[in-house]
Amino acid sequence: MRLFDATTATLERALDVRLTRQGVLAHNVANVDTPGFTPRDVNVTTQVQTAAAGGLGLDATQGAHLGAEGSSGSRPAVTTEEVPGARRLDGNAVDVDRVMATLAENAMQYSAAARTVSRKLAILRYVASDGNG
Amino acid sequence: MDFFAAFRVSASGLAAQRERVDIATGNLANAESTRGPDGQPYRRRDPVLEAVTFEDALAGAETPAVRVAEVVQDPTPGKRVYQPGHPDADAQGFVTYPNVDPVHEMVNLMSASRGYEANATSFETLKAMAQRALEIFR
Repeated sequence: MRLFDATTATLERALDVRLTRQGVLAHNVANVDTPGFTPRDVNVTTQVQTAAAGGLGLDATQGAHLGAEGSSGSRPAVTTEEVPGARRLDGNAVDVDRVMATLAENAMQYSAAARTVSRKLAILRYVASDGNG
Repeated sequence: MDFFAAFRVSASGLAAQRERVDIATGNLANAESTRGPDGQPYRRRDPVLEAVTFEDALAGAETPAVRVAEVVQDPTPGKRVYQPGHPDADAQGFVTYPNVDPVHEMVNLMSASRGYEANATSFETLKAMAQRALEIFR
């Protein structure tokens, strides 16, 4: 068991993915009236899993470098995908109700992950201060 | 993606919608202007919104997510009203009024205002997330 284990790394990745997703959703909202615009989204599950499956790890560029389990040395970029959907007459495919709902949901999930990181760190603080934290 | 890039995405959406409001308001204000700087009746204007791909928006710090690419003039002819006493009446006594339809402009105005609200909400949500991220250190 390490201090900063895979859970922390996964949470970190989740925060990263959620933030990018929020940006993608904001991008969709910004283009709600742009003709021909196709909205995009981030598949959170696959994005977090790709990282957990070995994408996270310290870059060992020299032989003397140590590897660290579950640390986020090289973080893979978050990829986005187009969302197919019905287009309006002007070719815009943004479903604003759904985007706003996803926006709210994603922010909540982000808060949850951030809170969990907080708790994780609180545990470490407690241990580091001999139980007096 | 960092928080500030995400903020800029929402900000560009706000700016684009505000410009739509400005243009619709300008059209409404000039609904009866029978002469402009060129002596011709006012022609209604329409903004053309252009999307920047998400990857481009991420790459360039200053690139907005959406922008008003150009403002075009509506070429449809305006309505002609018989007003022989009007100073802008032509030889037959007809005055050409701007091609502004107040109902159309009001609908545009409503749509832009809702779009602005949606962008403002997405900005607020992002702000709450940034706040939450800062609280990790507490």
